Amino acid sequence: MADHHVGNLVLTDLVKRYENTDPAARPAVDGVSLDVEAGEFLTLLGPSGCGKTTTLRMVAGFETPTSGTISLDGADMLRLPPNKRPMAMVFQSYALFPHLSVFENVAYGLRIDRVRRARLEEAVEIALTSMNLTGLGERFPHQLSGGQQQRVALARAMVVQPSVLLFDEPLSNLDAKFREQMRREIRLLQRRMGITSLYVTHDQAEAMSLSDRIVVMNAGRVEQVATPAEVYTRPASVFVGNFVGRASFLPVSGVVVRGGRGGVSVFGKEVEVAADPGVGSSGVVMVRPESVVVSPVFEQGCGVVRSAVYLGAGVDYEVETDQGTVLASVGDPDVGGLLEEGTKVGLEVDASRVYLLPRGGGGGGCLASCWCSPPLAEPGPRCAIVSMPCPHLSRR
Amino acid sequence: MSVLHRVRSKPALTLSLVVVTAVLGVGLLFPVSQVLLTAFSPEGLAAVESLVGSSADREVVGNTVVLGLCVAAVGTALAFLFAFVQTRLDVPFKRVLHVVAVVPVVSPPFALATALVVLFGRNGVISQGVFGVPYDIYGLDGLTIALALSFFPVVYLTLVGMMRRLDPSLDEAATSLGAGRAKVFLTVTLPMLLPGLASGFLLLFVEAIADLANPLVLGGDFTVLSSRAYIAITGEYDVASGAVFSLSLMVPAVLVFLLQRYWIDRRKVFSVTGKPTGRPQTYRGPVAMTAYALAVVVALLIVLVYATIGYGAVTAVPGVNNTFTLAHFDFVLFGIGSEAMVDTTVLAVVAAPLAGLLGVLIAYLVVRKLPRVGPLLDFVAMLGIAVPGTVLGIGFVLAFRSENLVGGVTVIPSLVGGAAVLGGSVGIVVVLLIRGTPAAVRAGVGSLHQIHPSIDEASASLGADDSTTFRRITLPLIRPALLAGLTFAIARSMTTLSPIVFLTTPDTKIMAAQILAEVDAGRFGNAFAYCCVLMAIVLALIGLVRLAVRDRAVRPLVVLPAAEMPVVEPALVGAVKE
Repeated sequence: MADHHVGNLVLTDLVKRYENTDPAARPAVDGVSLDVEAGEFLTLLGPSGCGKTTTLRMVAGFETPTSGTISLDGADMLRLPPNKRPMAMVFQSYALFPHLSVFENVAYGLRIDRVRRARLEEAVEIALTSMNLTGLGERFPHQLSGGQQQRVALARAMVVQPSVLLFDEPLSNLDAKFREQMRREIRLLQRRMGITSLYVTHDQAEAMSLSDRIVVMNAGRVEQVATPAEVYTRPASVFVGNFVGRASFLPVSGVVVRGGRGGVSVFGKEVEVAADPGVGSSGVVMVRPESVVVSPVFEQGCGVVRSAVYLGAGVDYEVETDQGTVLASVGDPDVGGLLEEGTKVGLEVDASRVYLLPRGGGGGGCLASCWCSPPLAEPGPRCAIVSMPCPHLSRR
Repeated sequence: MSVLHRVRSKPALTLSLVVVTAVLGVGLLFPVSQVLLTAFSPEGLAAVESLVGSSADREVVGNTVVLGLCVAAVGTALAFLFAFVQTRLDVPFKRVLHVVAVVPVVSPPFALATALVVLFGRNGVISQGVFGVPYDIYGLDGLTIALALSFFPVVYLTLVGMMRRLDPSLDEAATSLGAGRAKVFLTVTLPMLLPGLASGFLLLFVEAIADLANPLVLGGDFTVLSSRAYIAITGEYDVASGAVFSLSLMVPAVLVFLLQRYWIDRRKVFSVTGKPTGRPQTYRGPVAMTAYALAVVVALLIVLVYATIGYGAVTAVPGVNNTFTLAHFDFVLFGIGSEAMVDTTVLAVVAAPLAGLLGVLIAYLVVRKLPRVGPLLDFVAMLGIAVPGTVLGIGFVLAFRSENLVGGVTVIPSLVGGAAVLGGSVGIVVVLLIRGTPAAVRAGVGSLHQIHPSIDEASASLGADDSTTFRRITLPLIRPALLAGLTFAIARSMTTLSPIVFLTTPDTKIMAAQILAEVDAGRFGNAFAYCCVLMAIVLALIGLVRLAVRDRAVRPLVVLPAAEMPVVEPALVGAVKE
C-alpha cells in the first residue's frame, strides 16, 4: 500500500460565513491559510466553535467556503464535489454502514472505484490485518466494540489510498483507555504510510501526541502554527498558552525587550527570560505549573497556599502572590508533607522555563492579569492581584 | 452557480425533482386548483350563497361540526383508554386487546357501519332480537360509534408509543416529592400527553368530517358536507355546489393539518426525555379495574362487529334468514363481483409500490438534498392526505374529464369518465398514488432523521456520487420505512372510497364502490363477503411485501439521541384510513 500519492494541501484565506447569520458577526472561519506539507500530520486544535471542524469539512467538500481557495498539489479542489476529491474522512461517529459487514464496509470505496475482485479482496484483507481486525470481516458494525468500529472506519478510509486523510475528532467517542491506544496506532500507521493527514480535535493531549505541527484556532482564526513543543513552550498568545496545558500569567510592566529576551521580575527576583517579539513595555509572564518549585521556606518570592488538591501522581497548589495567583504542581508528593491551605510558601522558577508574552494578545477572552483554568471554562478573572507586601499576608 | 450548471452537475437530483414535481403538480395541485376555480366561478358563488342562505344547508354544516366533535371526543377517549390499559395496567390479555384495537386499521369502509346496522339497526339482531327495542342507529349516534371505532386505532398506536417513551423517572421524581398515584397522573403524565391527545383529537375531527363511506350508509336523515357533496355531484349533477361543499371541508382539514404541523409537532419534542431508564409503575385499584372493564367491553364490541361481518358473509339475509350459504362469496369471487376484486387488486398493486418509492424519494430530497425548498415539498406532498377525498375526487372530475390541450396538442388525455384512457384506471392509479405517498413520506422522513448525515458523507468521501449513495446506503437503511410506506399504501389503495367513487367507470370497478352499491341495495351478504375478501387480499399483499422485502435484523448504528427522534408520526395516522 505504499504506492499511493502523497499530497500537499494548501488553504488560502479560507472564509466561511454561514447564511442567516448577522453579517456584522465574525465568520465561522475567518481567513485561514495553511500549508500542509506532503506526508505531514497537521492538527487543528481549538475549543468548540473555533471553526476547526468547519475548516475540515470545507476541505472534504461538505461545506462550501464563502471565499478563499483549497488546492491539492496545485489542483483546485473547490471545483470538485466531495466524491471526486482524492481524500478520505474518518468521522467522530465512525459512520460505518450498519447494513454492511466489516469486509463490505472496508471494500465500499474500492467497489465504487470498480477495483477488480482479486485485488479488492487482497487490499481489504491487508487493511483489516494492518488494523488488527483479522477474522472480523463477516461481523456487522453493531457487533463490534467502539475501538474496533473506529479501526474499521480507519481501514475503510486508508484502503482507498487517499492523498489526504481527514480526521474529525475520531477518538472523542472512545473511553480514555482505548483513546490512548488508538492514538498510538493512528500515529504509527500514519508514520508508516506517510499519508498527509489533517486532524481535528479539541483535546490538547491528543494534538500534542499525534502531530508534526499543531494549528491552534480561536474564533475562526489561526492563533499559531508550530510544533507541539513550540506551542507549549513558546505560545504565540495568552489564549494558546492557556488552551494548551495549564499556566499562570503574571502581568509585568516596564519591560525592555532586546534580542528576543526581556528582563522581568518573577516571584520577587529579577531575571532575563525569552520573549515574544511582539512584547512592548508591558506584558505577561507565562509560568507552567510544573516549572514552579514550592518550598515551605520562603526566601524571595512568596505567597499563601489557597488550595491544595491531591491527585495521586502530584499535588496541585494555588498560591496567592502579589503578582496574582500562581499554579504550582508538585510531582511525586510526600503524602505526609502536603502543604496546608493558608501556609506561607516560597516560590521559585528556572528562568529558562519562563516566557514573556504580549499582554492580552490573541483575543483569547482572558485577561493577562488572571489565570484561567483550561479549557477556558470561565472567561472572566478568577482572582484579583494581591497588592499587599508578602510579610503581611495573613493566615486564614 | 447557475441553474444550468446545477442541472448538469447533478443529473439524478434534477431528474428526481422533475418527476416529483410533475406527479404532485398534475395529480394534486392541478385538480385542487380546479375545485378552487369552480368554487369561485359565478355558479360556485351562487352555491356559496345558497349554502349560507338556506337553512337546510346551514344545518348540514352544523351536523358536520357536531359529528366531528363527537367522533373526536369519543375516539380520543377510546384511544387513551386502550393506551392506558396497555402501558399502565398489569392485567391479563393485554396482547389480545392490542390486536383487537388495531384490527379496524385494515378493514374497509362500510364494514363497521354495515355490521352495526345489522346488529343495532331497525331490525337489529341485538337491539330488536335480544332486547326487543326498536332502536334506530341511523344518524349521529350510529355515525359516532362507527367513525370512532374506525379511526381510534391510529390515535391509540400514537399514544401507546408516547406513553412507552415517557421517562418513568419523571413519575418516580414526582412520587418521591410526595405526590400520590392520582396526583402524579394528573400533574405529570397527563400534561406530557397533552400534545398527543390534542393532535389525536384534531386528527379524528378531520377524519370524521371528511369521511364519506359511513355517512352514506349510516347517515339516514343526518346529512353532512361530504355526503351532500357526493349527492350534488352524482345525483344532481351540480358540480359547482359539489365543489363548494367539498371546499368547505377542506378549510378545516387544512387548518388542522397546519396546526398539527407547526404547533403541536414542535411542542412534542420537549415532552419526551431521553432513553427510558426504568419500568413505569402500574396502577391498581377500582379506577384501574373500571378502565380495564371498559376496554374489554369495547374490545368485545369490535370482536362482535367483525364476527358479524364473517357471519353475515355466509348467511342468506343476515338477521332475517339465517341459512348458511356460500352464494355471496360465489358472487364476489367468481360471479359478476369478481371484476371489482381483480380491478381493485391490480390497481393497488400498481399504485402502492409507486407510492412507496415516490414517498421515500420525496423524504430523501426533503431531509438530505433540499434544505430550503424541502419543507415546501414535504408540505405539498402531505396535502395529498390533508385534502379531503371528496375534494380530490371532484378535482379530478373537473380537471381530467376532458383532455387537457396546450396549443391544440393533447398534453394529458381524458382520465375520468366514459372516454377516459384505459377505462379510467390511469386516473385511479394517480389518485391512489397521491393518497398513498404521504404515509411513505412520513415513514421515510422519520427513518432518515435517525440516520446520521455522516453516513452519507462517509459514502461521498469514499468516492460515491449521490445516486450511488442513495442506492447502496440510504435505500437499504430505510428499508423498514419503505416497507411501512408500502403496507400503508396497499391498505389505503384497497380500501379507499371517497376520491375513487367519483372516478369509477363501468370498465373499472372498485370494491369499495361496489360495497356501497350492495349496501344501498340492501344486499348486506354480498357487502360482507366483499369486506372479507378485501381484508384477506390486503393481509395477503402485506404478507407478500414482508416476504419480498425481508428485513435482515439491522440495527442502525449511528442514530440521533432518542430525544431527537420523531416520536409520533401524526400523518401516518391520517394516512391509514379516510
